Amino acid sequence: MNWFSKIRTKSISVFAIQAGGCMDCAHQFLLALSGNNEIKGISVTGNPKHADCLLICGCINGKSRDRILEVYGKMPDPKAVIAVGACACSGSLFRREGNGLYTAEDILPVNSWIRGCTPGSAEILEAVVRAMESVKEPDYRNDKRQE
Amino acid sequence: MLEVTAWFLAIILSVPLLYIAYDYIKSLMPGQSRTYILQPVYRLLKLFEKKDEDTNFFACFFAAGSCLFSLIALYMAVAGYNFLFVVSVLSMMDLFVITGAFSSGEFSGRMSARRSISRFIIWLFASIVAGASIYKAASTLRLKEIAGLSEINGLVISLPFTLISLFVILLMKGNLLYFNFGVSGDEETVLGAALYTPYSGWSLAVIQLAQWTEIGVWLRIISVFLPLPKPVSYIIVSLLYFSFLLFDRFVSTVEWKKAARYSWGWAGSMSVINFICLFYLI
Repeated sequence: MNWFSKIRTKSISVFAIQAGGCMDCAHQFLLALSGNNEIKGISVTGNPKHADCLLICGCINGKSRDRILEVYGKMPDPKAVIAVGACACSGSLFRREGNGLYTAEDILPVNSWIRGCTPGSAEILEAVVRAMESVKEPDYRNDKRQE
Repeated sequence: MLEVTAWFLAIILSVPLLYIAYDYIKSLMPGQSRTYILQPVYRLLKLFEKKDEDTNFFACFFAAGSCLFSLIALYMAVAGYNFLFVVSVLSMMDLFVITGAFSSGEFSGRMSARRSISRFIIWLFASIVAGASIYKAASTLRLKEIAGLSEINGLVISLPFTLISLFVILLMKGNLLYFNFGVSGDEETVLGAALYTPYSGWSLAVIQLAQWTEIGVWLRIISVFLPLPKPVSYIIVSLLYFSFLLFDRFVSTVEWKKAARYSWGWAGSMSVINFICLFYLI
């Protein structure tokens, strides 16, 4: 881990996107930071251009897929993607419904997965830090999975 | 020249120190988790590291321009140039940031630029009227001469409302209390960070540096009016700003139009009251 990577994990701006579903995963993350503007240097941002980490919560359908890709495209490198909860990781209960659901890995290179329905706040915060540690320099926008 | 350079470096370093101390004290408050002490510096270094291929040329140009003008303004303030020259250079800095927001072409950028323009008009008006009052009281606008006069004659006695007005401008620039226009860039919503929509990574880090420098310029300008040795005055004004920074935690954010009204009421009217007192009543 080089010098900049250490700094990168000490100041993390997170953009949480709710792709669909019950919103519990997003609430867990926001509740973890409620009252505290920053824990472990993690803060929430509403501007994708200022974000370091994209938190994908809920079931991803066709419409939300486009929005997620749009947000991801605006984030500057290096950036991390985290799939939060069973819906974003595998589709959970809804994967056999035939509604054109995607997992986070189908559309973006995911750095970290947090399984469970609903995952705990502490696990989400820990995963954010670990994901930023594992972020590499290459530009993922050239990744074939996005095409 | 050595003194000017020392002041220049001291002011550049002092403002981040204020924000570091603020972050540390904030983390000591009940119910708050301990954050990293050097958090503002980490954020700045992180932003310098980030690469943004989507950032257009104009965003970089406006970011670099605003930083350059803030540094020029700081040099002029430290070297004791004319007060209105410093204000005009600072207004160039502000205009560069606003034009950058317009150049984004996004709705949020245009909306925040509108807020920022209203803030710009208020502080420029207050500064110009303050300049007239200062000229009437001191017969000069050179900050170096004003500093000498304030130590000998106690210039602050003639300019109490002007001083309040200048301090309110400082609060407006720091997005504090009821003078927060919602354009601070560290909000949790896209509306609060909208002024910095086109800036990302390197250009955002440069804008952050420019803002810190601008706060330092206003601290320096206000400290000139106190009848004390300049380092002591600067420390007192910095501590006062720091106390307002902490007090801001206990004040709810108001809607930006209300913030504009409060700013007109305090920054605008205070400078006008002092102007009327000096020109017509005395």
